[in-house]
Amino acid sequence: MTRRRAAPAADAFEERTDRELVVAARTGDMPAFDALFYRYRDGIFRLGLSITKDPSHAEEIVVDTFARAYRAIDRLEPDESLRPWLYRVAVNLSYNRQPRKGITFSSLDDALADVMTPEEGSPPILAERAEQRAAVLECVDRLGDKHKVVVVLHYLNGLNLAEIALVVGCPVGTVKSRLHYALRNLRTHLSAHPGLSVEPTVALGATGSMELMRSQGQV
Amino acid sequence: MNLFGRGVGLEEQVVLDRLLDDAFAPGRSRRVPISAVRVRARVAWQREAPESRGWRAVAWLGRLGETSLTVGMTALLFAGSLGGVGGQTEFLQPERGSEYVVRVAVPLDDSRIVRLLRLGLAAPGTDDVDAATVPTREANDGEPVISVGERGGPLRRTTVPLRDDDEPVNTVRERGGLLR
Repeated sequence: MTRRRAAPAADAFEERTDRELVVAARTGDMPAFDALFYRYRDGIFRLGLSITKDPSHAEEIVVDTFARAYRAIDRLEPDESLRPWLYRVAVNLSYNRQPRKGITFSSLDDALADVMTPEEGSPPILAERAEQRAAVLECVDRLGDKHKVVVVLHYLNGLNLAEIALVVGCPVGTVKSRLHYALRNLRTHLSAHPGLSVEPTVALGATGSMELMRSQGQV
Repeated sequence: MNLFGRGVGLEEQVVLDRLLDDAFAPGRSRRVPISAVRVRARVAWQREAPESRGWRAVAWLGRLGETSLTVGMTALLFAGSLGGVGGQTEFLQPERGSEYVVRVAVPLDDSRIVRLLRLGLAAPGTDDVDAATVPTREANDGEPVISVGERGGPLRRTTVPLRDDDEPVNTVRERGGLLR
């Protein structure tokens, strides 16, 4: 009985926009605030996990983010999208909970490996695919913080460039630039892995030309 | 020549996009079993206390009481530490060439006053002198003096009878020994 009643209510909240839910939550409608929570908790958890590498920290970040949202619900502008605001709070909280130097948590690929959904394919193919994923995520981990958060927000959380600009607090052009340099660094790192079909970066401008000439024996 | 390196071409971008999408696919499908009740509990836990005037006054009085108690205890401890230094036994160095004397203020007694008068000495106004008291004229400063006559030896306390309303005043002068 309870499920039959709760399901239409949940569907009703699913159809409502962020703005409507924020306005309803301001009037004390807690189910509306809960609907916002269930709408964004997974994305914030993934973002926190990718930065802190610790699932328990990521859960705390989710709870802290929405606790702050609840306290600031009266100051939120309904016209603006709630998602960049939530992700911005989550990014700041995640940086505060970053693992200290000398403390090694499980890597991002390790954290994700335990929840990998079963896939179809022969075991060798699955193993090769898992190895490729591990290599890519390892290269993402080696990026700097500014580049890494842009990559994570874009490829993991699916935010567009304008939303990422709101999250990180910089112009869209800066986000484009960071994403470009992040991909270039990834290309450099991934070219060391032969199975990823990323061509080596021997021709990188001045330095790359020098390496190319050196490889051809002209220097 | 590009000083900032070769850019990411379209084909490379496609390959990198595919690799990143594939790498983050398990993470995108991840769900976290956190209930909204946890957020409500966090909000309720961090909610500020009600601030009415009555509560503010009570809180202010409480803080005032704590502060005054702390100051009082500190002053008491400080005064106690100073009093410990002053409470040591006071030793009086005897004058050079004089006897050890014990000055005792004892209660008055009529028979003793008569005895002092027979000896030709003026009895003190309020002090009484013990039977063993022989005041010396030279060093008499108006107080009854008991000559002990022990030089260098241990000094013994003289038992002095007390009256109910008077307190003995013992002033001890000794050389090299402690009062027992």
